[in-house]
Amino acid sequence: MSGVFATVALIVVLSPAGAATASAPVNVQWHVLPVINFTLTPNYNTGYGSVLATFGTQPAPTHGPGATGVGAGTVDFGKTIAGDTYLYKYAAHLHITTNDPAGFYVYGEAAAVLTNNSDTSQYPGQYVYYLNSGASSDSNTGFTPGLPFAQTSGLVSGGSDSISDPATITYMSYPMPVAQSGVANNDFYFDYQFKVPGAATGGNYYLWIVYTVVGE
Amino acid sequence: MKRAQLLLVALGLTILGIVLTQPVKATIQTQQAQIILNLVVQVVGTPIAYVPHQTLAQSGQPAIVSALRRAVPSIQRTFRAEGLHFDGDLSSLVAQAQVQHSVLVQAEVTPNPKGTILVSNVPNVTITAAPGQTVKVTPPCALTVTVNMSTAWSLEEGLSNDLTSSTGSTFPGKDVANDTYKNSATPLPTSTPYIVYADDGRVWSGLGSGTAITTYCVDLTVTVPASTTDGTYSTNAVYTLFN
Repeated sequence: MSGVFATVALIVVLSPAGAATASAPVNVQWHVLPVINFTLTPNYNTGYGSVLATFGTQPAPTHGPGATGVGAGTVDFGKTIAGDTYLYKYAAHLHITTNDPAGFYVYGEAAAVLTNNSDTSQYPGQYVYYLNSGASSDSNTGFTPGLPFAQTSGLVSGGSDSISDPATITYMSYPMPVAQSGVANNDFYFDYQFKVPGAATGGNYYLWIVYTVVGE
Repeated sequence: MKRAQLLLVALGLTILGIVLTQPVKATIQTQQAQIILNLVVQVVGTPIAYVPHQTLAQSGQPAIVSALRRAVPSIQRTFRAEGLHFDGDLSSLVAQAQVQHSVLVQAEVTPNPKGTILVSNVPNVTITAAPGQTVKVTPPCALTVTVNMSTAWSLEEGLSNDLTSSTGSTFPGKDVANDTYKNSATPLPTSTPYIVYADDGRVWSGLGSGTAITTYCVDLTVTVPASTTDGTYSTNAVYTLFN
């Protein structure tokens, strides 16, 4: 919808009495950008939380203290062990409405590298993954294939290990989208996976995932 | 009667032998570590598309004219980040270029004494290929899997699932093959398709065994079926260590 509109205005120049009237066309262009409403809901369904990658019968999900309730808090995997892989069910729900009939793109990136807040050690690489989930049902396991959140090359602001200091990213160019909608309104439901580095030291780890919605 | 007794004794010894060997086998097959490597295949664009020529043939000589052109990947787009900004009265806000929200991911990690007995040099591998194309990851030995054990061990491998995209499209995991060799050795002449746990009877395949620290080079080859639609596909290569 962010199309270019143009018109031609005829400018009439009034000259002193007796002189000839002159006119010239002026090309006026402007962009019309879509209005976008975007709601991001963590822990969006009952049964949210983390399970160890396991074949067969799945363990009951658990979570850390940051996940304070349905629709609230952080995506907190809770207690994890270095080298293991965990699935976090019902991690994030993206509800997007626009007035753009062409739809929109959703970009999702990590704002920084995985960081241990206890000893400030950092782990470059892709350790948090996303995969499609359902609104109220979820058959994923820790072995279900996901896709990695890339670390952004954009300019990051904020983003300490506090929910009150959310990270934001300023883009000069957008990366590959994590989702795309061909209609104006849509919902996306994601689980996350955390592949804990085998050599990770003990402590409290954090990483901001930033979603950006842009009209087509 | 004597023969029957002998038979009974033989049967008893056989059963005893089976019973005694089972715990030994179970001890041998204790899982020590497992790593899950993410494999991503970016399927981008049919390399060549048939485009019929639009011009009608001139009178006289009949002509068949066609052109081949590269299809434009639908997902690769460049955007400029720009927006309208209105100061003061918010009621005048009429348009937005983008909206952004973020979520904090947290975890409490406990170190694992066994966390480094089976490691890879990277957590994931991304390969770009077109439908119908076969791509081998280069350079050789770009992906390694290392067993850091000096006692007897065995290593198994496989893919967890077929390759799946975010839209639910799939292509077979057997289209991913590996040429796995010790890093002190030379590559094998051929690659072997991975076994797919979800499709092949829920078993892994044996990769090797040893009693020393060993690094394997894993050279991956992907053949994308010609009918595969554009998108990002992924699966997991799983390596499991036993002692």
